[in-house]
Amino acid sequence: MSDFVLLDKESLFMGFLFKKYNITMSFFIAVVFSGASDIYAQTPAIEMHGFATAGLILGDTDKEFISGTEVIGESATFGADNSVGVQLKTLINEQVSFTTQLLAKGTIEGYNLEAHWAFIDYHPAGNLSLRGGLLVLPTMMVSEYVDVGYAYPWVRPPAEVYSNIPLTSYSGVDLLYTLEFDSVSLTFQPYIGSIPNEHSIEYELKVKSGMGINSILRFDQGSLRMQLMRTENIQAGNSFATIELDAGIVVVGADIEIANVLVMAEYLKKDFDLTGLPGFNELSTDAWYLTLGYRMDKFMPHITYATADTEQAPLVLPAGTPIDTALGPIPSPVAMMLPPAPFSFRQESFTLGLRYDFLPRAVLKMDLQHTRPFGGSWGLFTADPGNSVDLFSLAVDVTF
Amino acid sequence: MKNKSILIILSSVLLSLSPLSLIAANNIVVVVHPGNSIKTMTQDEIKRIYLGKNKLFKNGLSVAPVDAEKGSLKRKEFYKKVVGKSPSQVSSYWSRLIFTGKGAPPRVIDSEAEILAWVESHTDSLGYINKDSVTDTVKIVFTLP
Repeated sequence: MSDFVLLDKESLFMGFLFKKYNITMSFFIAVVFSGASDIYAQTPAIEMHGFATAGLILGDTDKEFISGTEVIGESATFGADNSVGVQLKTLINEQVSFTTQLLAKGTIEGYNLEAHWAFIDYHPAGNLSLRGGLLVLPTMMVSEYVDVGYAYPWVRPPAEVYSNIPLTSYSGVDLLYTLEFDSVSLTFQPYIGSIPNEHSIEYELKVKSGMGINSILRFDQGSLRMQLMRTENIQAGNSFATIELDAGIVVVGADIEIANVLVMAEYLKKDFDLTGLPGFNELSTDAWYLTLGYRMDKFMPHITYATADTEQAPLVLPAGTPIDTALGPIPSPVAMMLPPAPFSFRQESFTLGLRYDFLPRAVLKMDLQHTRPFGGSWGLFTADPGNSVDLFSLAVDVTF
Repeated sequence: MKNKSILIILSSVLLSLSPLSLIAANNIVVVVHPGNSIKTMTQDEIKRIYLGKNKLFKNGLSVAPVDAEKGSLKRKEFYKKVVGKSPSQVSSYWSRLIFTGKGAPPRVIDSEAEILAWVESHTDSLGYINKDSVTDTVKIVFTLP
C-alpha cells in the first residue's frame, strides 16, 4: 500500500518536472521505468535532509549591499541571512533517484520560497552520474551549497568573489565522472543549460545558454578546483534598462587543511561583452580571496582578505542626470554608479571570524568585516557608502 | 589459582575505573561479511570508504559501510582514529555532498546487535563494532590502533 502511494507521488512530481523544465526528460523517464524493481525492501525509499540559518547583521551603514546573489543590509537586522532548506531524495532503484531541494530565503524584500534543486540522477556506476532537471551552477567552490552555512567557515562567503556571478539554479544537465587513484581522485563535471527567468539582485535575469566544466582534484588534505564557464546572451533587466551580455568566467580554488591549519583561496576572472550600457562594451574583473583558519577543537578563528578590481573605471552619475529609458530620457531620481554592481565593482574587505561548533550539527558563526570600496567605485553597495563600512554578522547554522 | 582470580577481579576493577574512551578505543574492530574474500584492510582504505571516496572493496566488490549511532563514543573514536576527523568535521564534510546531490553518508544503525545482524546478512557491508561483540558470523579485517 505504501509503495503504491509513493509511486503516485513520484509520477505527480515527474509530471511537474516535465512540464516546468522542457529538457530531454524522456530518456530519464525511460530509465526510471525500465529499472523499476522490488528494491524498496532493501533501501529506504525516501531520504530527508535539511538545513537552516538564523542571522543577525549590525553595522555602521544603512546602505544596502550585494552579497552573493542577494541584496542584504543592516536595515534587515534580523533575517537577511535567514534560510531554511529541505531536501528529499527518492530512490527509484539502485541507479536512479530524484532529488528536490526547496529553499525559503530571507532577503530585504522578505522571504521567497523556491525549488532550488529538482533533478533526476541516473548513476550506472559508482563513479558516474548523469543528472537532469533544475541544478545549481558550480560557479565558485561553495556555490552549489552556498545556502548551507553549516558547510563553510564564514557567515557569508567573501562577497568580492561570490557576488560576481549572480546566477544560481539552471535548467539543464550535468555529468559527474570521477577517476579514482590510490589516494587521489579527479572529478569532471561538465554542464549545459539555460535560465528561463530568475529574479536576482533586483534584476530579472535570463540566460539563453550556458555551459562549463568544473574539475576537482581531491586528496587527503583537501581539494583543488578549476571551473570554466561560457554563457551566451544573458539579459539583465530592471526598471531602467536591459543589459545584454556574453560572459567568459574562469575560477580556480583551493581548500586545504593540514594539521589544524585551514587554507581556502579562490581567484576569479570574468570578461563581459556588453550591449545596452553606452560607453561600456567590455568589462573585465579580477577577484580573489584568501582565508586562513586555525582549528582548535570546537573553535575555529579565521581571517580573510578579499578584493575585486576592474580594468574599466566606474562612472558615478549624480541624481538628476538624464538617463535613457524605453520611454525616452528621464532625470535619474538617485545617484547611480555605472556600470552597476555586480557587473563591475572595486572593493576590498578584511574579515575576522570565529566558527564555534557548539553541537555536532549546529554551529555559531561571527564575522567582523571591514569593507572598503576603492577607485571611484561604490563597491557592492547600491548607494555611496562613504570611505568604508564595518559590519558585524552573527549566524546560527544547523543541519539535519 | 586463587591469586589469578584476584588478579582478574583487580584488573577488571581497574579497567572499569579507567576512562571509557580508552576502553572503547582499544576494543573497536572493523568487520565484513564472512563470505567476503577480503582478509585485511588498511586504515586508509577504510577511511576512503567511510568518506564516500571509494565505492569498492579492493577485490572489486561494491561496499556499503554502516555507521554506529550518532553521538556514540564508539563512533567518535572510530572517526578520530581511522578518519582523523571530529564529528562536526565529518558532518560538515557530508553536508557539502548531501545538499549538492553528490553523495550520501553511510547508513546509521543504532545498536551493536543490529550492526552485527546487518553485517551478517549483507555481503557488501562494512561495519565497526566492539571486539567483545564479535561472533564467528562476521570477519575482522582491521583492529583500531
